[in-house]
Amino acid sequence: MKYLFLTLLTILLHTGLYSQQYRSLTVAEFQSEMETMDGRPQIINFWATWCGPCVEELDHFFTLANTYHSHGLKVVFVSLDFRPANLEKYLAEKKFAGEVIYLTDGLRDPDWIEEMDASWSGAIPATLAFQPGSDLRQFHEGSFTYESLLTWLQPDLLALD
Amino acid sequence: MKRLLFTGLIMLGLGAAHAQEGYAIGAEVQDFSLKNIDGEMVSLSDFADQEGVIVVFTCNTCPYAVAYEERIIDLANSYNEKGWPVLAIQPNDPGRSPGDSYDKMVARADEKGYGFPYVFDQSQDITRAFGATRTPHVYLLQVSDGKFVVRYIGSIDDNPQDASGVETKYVEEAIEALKAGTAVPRESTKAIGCGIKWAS
Repeated sequence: MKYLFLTLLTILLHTGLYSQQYRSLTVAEFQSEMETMDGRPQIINFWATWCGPCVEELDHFFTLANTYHSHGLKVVFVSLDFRPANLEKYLAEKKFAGEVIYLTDGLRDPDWIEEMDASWSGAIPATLAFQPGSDLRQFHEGSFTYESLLTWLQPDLLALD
Repeated sequence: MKRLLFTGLIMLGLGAAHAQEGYAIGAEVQDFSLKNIDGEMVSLSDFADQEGVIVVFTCNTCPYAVAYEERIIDLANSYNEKGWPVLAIQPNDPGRSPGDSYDKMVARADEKGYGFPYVFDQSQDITRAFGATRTPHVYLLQVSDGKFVVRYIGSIDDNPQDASGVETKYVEEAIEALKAGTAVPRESTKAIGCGIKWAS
């Protein structure tokens, strides 16, 4: 009976994960979603499955999200893969449990990179941290170690005080 | 503690600003010499008798660079003879990106029959001087009174995924404007690309 329960739970969890592995949004949809996000501190990581340095730092964001979950911190992974099929395969293989958005026209829209942050050249990985409704906003182009990620983040974003 | 954090943030800010430095539109590019895939040194000044140079920071490994490889070859085929040759610079540190070693560069150029120099910026100093951050990253230089002046910075065109779906060929548009003596319609563009692999 116990095993049956565990098996069922496993199946349920997996179906749950796989059914909402990622959402496909246009840049415009994503930008308007950013404007209506709740007041929790948000971290948006721009990555792609083919990008070595991006994939290397993913675990740091999971660690951060787990560590600061009780402070309300939210992490979203925005994929800039060429094809959603590549992303889908990667997420399934890794049993990726984070929130993932696939930008359908992220490689085509010429202006959104500048709009996201004037300092962004377009190279990935890149990370945006902000809190909707406040002045807290920071952007970083390049990869992080877990230590450099913590040093980079403004303490107010982690609401430690 | 707060002050320390504040100082840290300022230093990070300076670091970020530093990363953004490099040649801007209208800047004069200093001469440099880098080793080509044939073992010979290639200098920017070798191109002084041309109308301009299409400098492309590119590599073997980045999927964007690979997606643009044929288009770089096509650019060279179209513009080498028109006074606007291609000079491709490989900026990645092979320690961090083994597929971008000098030997792999030679093999790749050989396999694809590159009709243009493909030089290696081993020290990464030239890449830093330009302020290039990703591959592929184009700097279009116009030769003017013996100087190499930056006229366009950005991507080759507006569709990395699909060459047949391109609407605007930024580099060609800029060259045609310069050849006609008119203003470059779009002097800089941004595009998603692979961050350059810096030696740590």
